[in-house]
Amino acid sequence: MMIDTESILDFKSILDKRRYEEQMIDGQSGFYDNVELVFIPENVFINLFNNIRPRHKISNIEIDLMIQNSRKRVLKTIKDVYSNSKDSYAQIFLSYLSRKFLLDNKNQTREMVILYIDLVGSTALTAILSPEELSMIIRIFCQEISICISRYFGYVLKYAGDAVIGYFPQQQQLSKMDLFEHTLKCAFYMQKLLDESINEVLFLNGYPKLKSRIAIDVGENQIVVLGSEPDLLGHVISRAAKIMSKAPPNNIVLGDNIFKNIGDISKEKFPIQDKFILFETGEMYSIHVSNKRKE
Amino acid sequence: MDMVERDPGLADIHTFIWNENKSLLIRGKSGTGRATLALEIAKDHLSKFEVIFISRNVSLNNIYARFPWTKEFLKSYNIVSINTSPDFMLSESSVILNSIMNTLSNRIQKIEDPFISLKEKPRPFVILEIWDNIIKELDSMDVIRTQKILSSLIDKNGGFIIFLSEDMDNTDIDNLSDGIINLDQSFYKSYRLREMQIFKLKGTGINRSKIAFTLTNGRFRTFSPLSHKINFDNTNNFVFFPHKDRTFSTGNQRLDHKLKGGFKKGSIISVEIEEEVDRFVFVPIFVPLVLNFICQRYGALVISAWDQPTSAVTRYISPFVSKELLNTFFRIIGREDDVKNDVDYERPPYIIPGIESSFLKNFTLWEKQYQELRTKSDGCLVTVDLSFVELQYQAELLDIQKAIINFSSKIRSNNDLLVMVSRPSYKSLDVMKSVSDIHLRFFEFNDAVMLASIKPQFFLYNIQTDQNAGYPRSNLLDSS
Repeated sequence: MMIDTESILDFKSILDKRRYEEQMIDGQSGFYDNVELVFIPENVFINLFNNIRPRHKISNIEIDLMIQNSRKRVLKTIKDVYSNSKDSYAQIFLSYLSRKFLLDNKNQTREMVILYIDLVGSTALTAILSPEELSMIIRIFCQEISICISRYFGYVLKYAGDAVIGYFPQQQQLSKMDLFEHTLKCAFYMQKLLDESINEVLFLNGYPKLKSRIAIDVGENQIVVLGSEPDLLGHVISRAAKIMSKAPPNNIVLGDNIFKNIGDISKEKFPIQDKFILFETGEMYSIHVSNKRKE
Repeated sequence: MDMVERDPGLADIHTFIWNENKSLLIRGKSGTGRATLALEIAKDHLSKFEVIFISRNVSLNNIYARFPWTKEFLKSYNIVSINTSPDFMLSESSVILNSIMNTLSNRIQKIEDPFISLKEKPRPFVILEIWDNIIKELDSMDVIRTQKILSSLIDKNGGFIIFLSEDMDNTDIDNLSDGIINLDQSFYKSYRLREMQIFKLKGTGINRSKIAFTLTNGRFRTFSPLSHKINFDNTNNFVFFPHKDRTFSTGNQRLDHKLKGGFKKGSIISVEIEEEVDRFVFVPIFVPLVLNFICQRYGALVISAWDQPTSAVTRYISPFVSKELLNTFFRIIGREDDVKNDVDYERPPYIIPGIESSFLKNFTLWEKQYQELRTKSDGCLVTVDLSFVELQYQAELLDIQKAIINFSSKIRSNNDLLVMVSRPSYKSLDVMKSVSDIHLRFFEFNDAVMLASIKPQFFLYNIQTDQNAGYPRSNLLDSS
């Protein structure tokens, strides 16, 4: 395994000391997770962090490597279908990162890009797959999409059945336009990930291929803590969910608020314009749909 | 594994564990069933927990020999044996404690691949049989400290710990234990009566704080209060147990076994029922006895108590045997139901209205019906509740006593069977006891109904109603 020394420094600084207790077990140093009651050896944490850490510029070589790693993960999960019962630690850790970000910024209003991705036709899958197989496939989808969101400076807000909601807050490292472009790249990478990793491995193992739809929009969100759990409140989340219905399977739909802030080259990828009545104001809202991919 | 249903007497303890409590202290002298109870509780939580049985100088084979039913869930990795011999360095309390802590630490789930699903990891369910060994050299502050360390370690692992202790007087850790149970035993005649006292179950209602139990076959089985439920919607005909040359079957295989084949032909059985025992107990015990005679074409004469109509008895007999057998081989003498307004009522031939005015006239009726039944069969059962006879005919007490003696003598010489019931403080009890070959006593112990053979001392059973066959019968649990 290639150890990135920068990662070691990064991941230790984001571990909450109340939750992660540094321990040595069986001669291995690592962290005891007091919530999940598991021990994560340091080298495992480094491996995890290397696979999820955000990257400014991801080269084509790195993308190929990410796809290769994804294929290995998907294949392992498929082989383990009947003993799978819970989320992977990677998903647990990504949820921890999101929760930590929201709690660190609670009661603030922040502009964020919201990315909403769901599986198309998952109801039909229930007819041909056993409950174990279906939950395995959804778990694969959610894990790979979550890793992808994290790679592009996003966080996973929540899983809603067969959908994943991600958010991309403005970061010091990225300008506003860079953030929007980054989110678009993330969406296109998700499509590639579905094609070249998830669907390829599923198909080779006798499972049906998955189709998805992605909606992206930007707007202000309030970070609130409801009970003990942080969440986001704002029109943009429900707007992203609604405009998604305008995207044909395997395509991406953008809200106008994001479309008008991206570069011309990116705009060309969304040639189809449509209108959407905003529930909150009753005004017409433009949306832009990609047309590159067919079902 | 022995497929026994979850014991209802342990329901509060299971709820207590589901309520996320962490520790239970079970106290009891040696041989009172502490380890058996702990394992019995653990067995019902295997979906969530993994048992760690920590004992001294013990092997898996020792455990299997003591508790054969644990083979399904106790493997070598579930047993931690700690050597506590005095000349061995591990007898130091702190070293024992370290060893336990290492055992628990080694069970912490380690993430090796963060991208595959986490397996549901069973939480440790620790049964600490050597708690007394750990604390014997410690002062009370150190005992508390040690208990706290163990509880916190268990808490960290999402587990549950049962401390087993012989020390009934030490209350040092009472406040630190989420639950406390004492196990005790006493003796009734030559029989053993076991009792579980539930003192505390944090956050859990205690429905029965004192519960009788048995350790028969290495299992911890509580004695339930007698259920009055009889299912009349799904009935079957009684399946009889054949009488033998010298014995009448009781209709209950376990009772027959204890009586070496059943009641000897020509014997007189006296049954004493203590005041607090509900008369319903006759249903699971006497209904199979009566049905076992009728179904084999033997006569059965029931002289029912005058305070209730004959239907109070026949409702437990008539649904489980054919009308033809009932009309031929069964007779019940007693007070008829109030049927004045029912024009369609036709008295079944097996119901014989008793004579209220005079015991002697009524007794003549008993003898007549008995003789008639005898002519139809090779043997006959007669049952009578003498305490109610005594109450009804108070002026004829002497005649009743004479009748008991005469009737017993007649039945004995005919090789039939007489079962007489009476209660403490009734004159009939003494006469009945003196003429009987077997004296049985029903009494209550911690809400459970017990049946003891007093003369001779054959058995002490807890009686539970068993509905599984489609007719009333009893499930008898040995008190041992």
